Amino acid sequence: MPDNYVGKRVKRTEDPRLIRGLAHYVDDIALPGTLHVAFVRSMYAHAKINSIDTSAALAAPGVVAVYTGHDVAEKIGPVPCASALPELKVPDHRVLARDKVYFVGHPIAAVVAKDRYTARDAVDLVMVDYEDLPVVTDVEQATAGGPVIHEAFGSNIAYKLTSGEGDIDAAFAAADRTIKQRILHRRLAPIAMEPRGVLARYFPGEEELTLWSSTQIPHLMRTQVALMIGMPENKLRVITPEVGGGFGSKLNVYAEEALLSWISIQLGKPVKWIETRRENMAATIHGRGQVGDIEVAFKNDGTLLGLRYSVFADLGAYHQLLTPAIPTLTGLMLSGAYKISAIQMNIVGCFTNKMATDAYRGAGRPEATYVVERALDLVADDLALMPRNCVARTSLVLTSFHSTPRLVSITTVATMKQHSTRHRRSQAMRICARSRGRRARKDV
Amino acid sequence: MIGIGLSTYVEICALGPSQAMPAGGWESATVRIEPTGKVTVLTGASPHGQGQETSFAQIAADELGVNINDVTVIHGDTGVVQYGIGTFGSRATAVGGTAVYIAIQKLKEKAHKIATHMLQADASHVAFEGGKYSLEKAAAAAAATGTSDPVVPVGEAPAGALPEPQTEGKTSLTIQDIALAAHLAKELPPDTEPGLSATYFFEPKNFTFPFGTHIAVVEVDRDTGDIEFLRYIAVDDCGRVINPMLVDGQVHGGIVQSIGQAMFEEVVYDEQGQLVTGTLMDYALPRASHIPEFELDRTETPSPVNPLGVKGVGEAGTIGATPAIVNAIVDALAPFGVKHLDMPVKPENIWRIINGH
Amino acid sequence: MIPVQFDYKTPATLDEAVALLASDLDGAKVLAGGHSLIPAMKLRLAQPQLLVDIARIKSLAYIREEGDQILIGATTTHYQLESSDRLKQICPLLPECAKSIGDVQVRNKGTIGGSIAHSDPAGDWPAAVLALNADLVLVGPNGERTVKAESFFVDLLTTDLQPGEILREVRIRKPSGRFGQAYQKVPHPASGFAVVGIAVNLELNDDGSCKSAGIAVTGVGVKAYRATGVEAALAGTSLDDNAIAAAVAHVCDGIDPNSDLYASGDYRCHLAQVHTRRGIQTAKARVQ
Repeated sequence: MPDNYVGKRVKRTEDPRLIRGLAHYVDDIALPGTLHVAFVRSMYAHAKINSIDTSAALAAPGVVAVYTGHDVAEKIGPVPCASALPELKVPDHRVLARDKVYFVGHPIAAVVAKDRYTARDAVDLVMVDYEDLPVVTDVEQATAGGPVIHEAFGSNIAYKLTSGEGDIDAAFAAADRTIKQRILHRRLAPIAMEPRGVLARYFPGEEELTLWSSTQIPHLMRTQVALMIGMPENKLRVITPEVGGGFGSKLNVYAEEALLSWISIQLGKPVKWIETRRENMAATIHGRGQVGDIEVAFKNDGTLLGLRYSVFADLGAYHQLLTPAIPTLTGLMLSGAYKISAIQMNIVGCFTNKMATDAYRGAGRPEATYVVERALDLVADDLALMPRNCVARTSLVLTSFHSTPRLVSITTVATMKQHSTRHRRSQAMRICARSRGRRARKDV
Repeated sequence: MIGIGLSTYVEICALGPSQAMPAGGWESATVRIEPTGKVTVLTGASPHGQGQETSFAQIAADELGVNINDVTVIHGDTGVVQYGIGTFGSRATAVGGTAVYIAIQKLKEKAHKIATHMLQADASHVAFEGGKYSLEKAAAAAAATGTSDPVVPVGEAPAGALPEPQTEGKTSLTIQDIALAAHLAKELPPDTEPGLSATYFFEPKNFTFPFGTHIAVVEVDRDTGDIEFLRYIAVDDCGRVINPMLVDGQVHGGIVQSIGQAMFEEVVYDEQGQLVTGTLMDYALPRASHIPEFELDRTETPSPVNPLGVKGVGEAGTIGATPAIVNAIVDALAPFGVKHLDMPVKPENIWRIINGH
Repeated sequence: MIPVQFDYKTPATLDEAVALLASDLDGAKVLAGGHSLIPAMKLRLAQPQLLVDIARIKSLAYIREEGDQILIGATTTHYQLESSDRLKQICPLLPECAKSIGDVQVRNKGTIGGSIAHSDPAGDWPAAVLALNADLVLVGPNGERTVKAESFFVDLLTTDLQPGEILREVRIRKPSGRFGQAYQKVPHPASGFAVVGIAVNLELNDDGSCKSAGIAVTGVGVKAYRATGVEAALAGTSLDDNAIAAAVAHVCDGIDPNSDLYASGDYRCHLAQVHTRRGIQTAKARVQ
């Protein structure tokens, strides 16, 4: 490839409009006659809905409509899950709750009004009669009997999966030593700078709908939303305006996207919803959420024989697009950069009364690298490669390093020197990275 | 109390071969050159901060020999752009950029065919360089003296059939000339559709495997348990680098989110399922003041999976950094017999360990 | 993130403001910088019916000296205090405290009076004015009164302000003789508020022994408080390391410390000791 531009630090063409505030995010798109949507969301993690009284909200000046789960039940399909794991339990999760809520933030009703202030005020006028149900938050307790979130499934286990390669039992039988460590990957919130937002505009004459959404997947969204609301796919147009970050949290099809589309068709007017940060923390997918044990079998000379990672995955109360699949990506990379002849991952995917987890920057692979790299430190420690000498730890790495021609060709050597400065040790270190065709310093 | 932590990672990205993906892992591109010579790239990728409007323009500009300001990259509109999968899993450049690249090669094949016809030369005598299709020297000399035969003998073609080529005597044509000619359609070779546009749907045959090593050096305050970074070093290999600034940006952002996971962030629900960390007053995102200066370096091992050699780098920083940081903190506390710490590692956790509480 | 509907008035004088407050004692609230009130309103935790905006009353923002007093108008912003060269000379605890608050945008709007009147358990100004033994001038429908800072902070988010009263001025006796001051703060990584904040105001005798100490703590209890146990233990000592160590052990005496996701009560008390020690040592080192 001739290289005039490629390989150079070319300034971004996106930046002038962003820096000057001239870009259009969803909320910057102003269509005449736009109505605004605000959501009544559950404040209970698990409860029956005995009744919803929308009369006061409907009577408030400026309120155009209020929709509840029963209004849309037969009209809008479930929020899609594209993961097809064997015997996966998939809750029938609809865009608005019907008889039950199962996480704080679960949308119960959509208030449509002439402006966003009126809509928000009217939310406080909707009366929901909840009946508390016992709450399940601990992933290990969720699978040990006790309250079941989706009764039809009989348990809170969404799936169990074992994957791997090699004879893991033989590896542990042949081990001189083993380590076992419990590892927590707490839930994280992706927190894109721009929360989600949706604007839907239906043209009744042409029977065409344009959906603006802050999303990472406009075409996939078009197909899914069209299916959910029963609209021909080629009459639906999805546009992503400027999107202020996603990190995986917008790799999804959310209830609000289908619901706003449907509402626009009902009312023949543009409708807009812009997520608040509080909604974003509660009702946009979370990342990570795994707790489990890493076990490594190894020989006295540091040869790694086997690695087993057994984990409970905290999926949340229902599945968004890829929720159950994310932990399986961890299994793909459990060998890390090392030669390990037997690897096994055991996943128990569990329902809890929380928002669904899904892809968040790394999507399963940070978990893999984390457990492997922590495990290697534990192995080095167990073999008493002390003081914590990176050379020794790295020779362990080198011994086990899995070299595949062309794919992996990096060796890392770290050196540490100690010297005293002002009552403090400080250590200097050099990194040498050697890869094919590029010579680097050696200083072991 | 100082600690050093190391993390050596390989990750799997540029999602991915459709066999392994729930709804397709390919990516699409259409590249066309308009009558006035402007280049339009329609990508099925859906950037949301990554910068592909710039990096795809870099690729197109180099491949077509045009000024980058004449290239416009359009995405995110299903009414305009052919079906695409979208942006996630560090795939936009590795899969989406490759689709752009290959679409351009297809487009150049057609442009070459038109150029050859317009220059009345053999295909093998016409080369593309610097945005121009040019006759090689010997053939150029022959054309100048008019000794080559016309493509269609004058006077023998039926009216309305292939017209007389109007490029007699020319030895080179810009790609913009070709684009205009393709639309005016007066001088096209036989069996050639008008227009100058190509679409390609690229199906990757594998994932890609970026790798690298991160090293964190931290110091822990004995009195308070506060953790300070003394150095942070990352050497990553994401294959061929289209725009080093964009790659640095991705590594920076990934490391920052790793620091967040290792030291600051956790979504907390209480036993009643109430979201305790409901706002940014409680959920601690790392701020600029929490972040060390990064010392970054790269190796470039081209991926064999796509002709660009790109692997993707959007997630690598988030994958490589977290264990390096936690390993460093554990190392700092080694004298206290600490082998593992749960994330986020907070100063209070450390204080309790040091003081035996 | 949308407040409940409210009315909004911009009185031109303090008297007008007091009259407006009196017209709706339950529903009216004073607005100055808004950086405590408006977030509460957006979360609908506060739902005032009338906001009386005093930030535009220019005559309420000033930094003056009168005799041995420093007089600070209530709507003086944190930024104005942070950037006052005069204060950096005569009472550096004030600019140092101001600079630790929030971030640049917050400091451009937030006011010393607002912070004191709000009495957030982790607010910085209450600690500073307690350590400086300030007087607070309040004005209301029944006229003006002056209250010592020590008696002003009553309980969680509760002060001695009576319905209809507005804090209009902070008065601080100019430190004299050999003095040194410091403000130590451990910011919460999410909110930026003080996990612990320690304000230190030391006055030394000519021989370098401690004449008096004002030590005030925020972030630890339901309100900012004077660590009188520490102050008493320091008085008369040479402020050597042992004296300081013995004194700071009292910093949480009688206090039931706050506990949250980030820091437990025990850890807060420990941090309070560490930072009180550091604050005293810094203040001592700064004495001329």
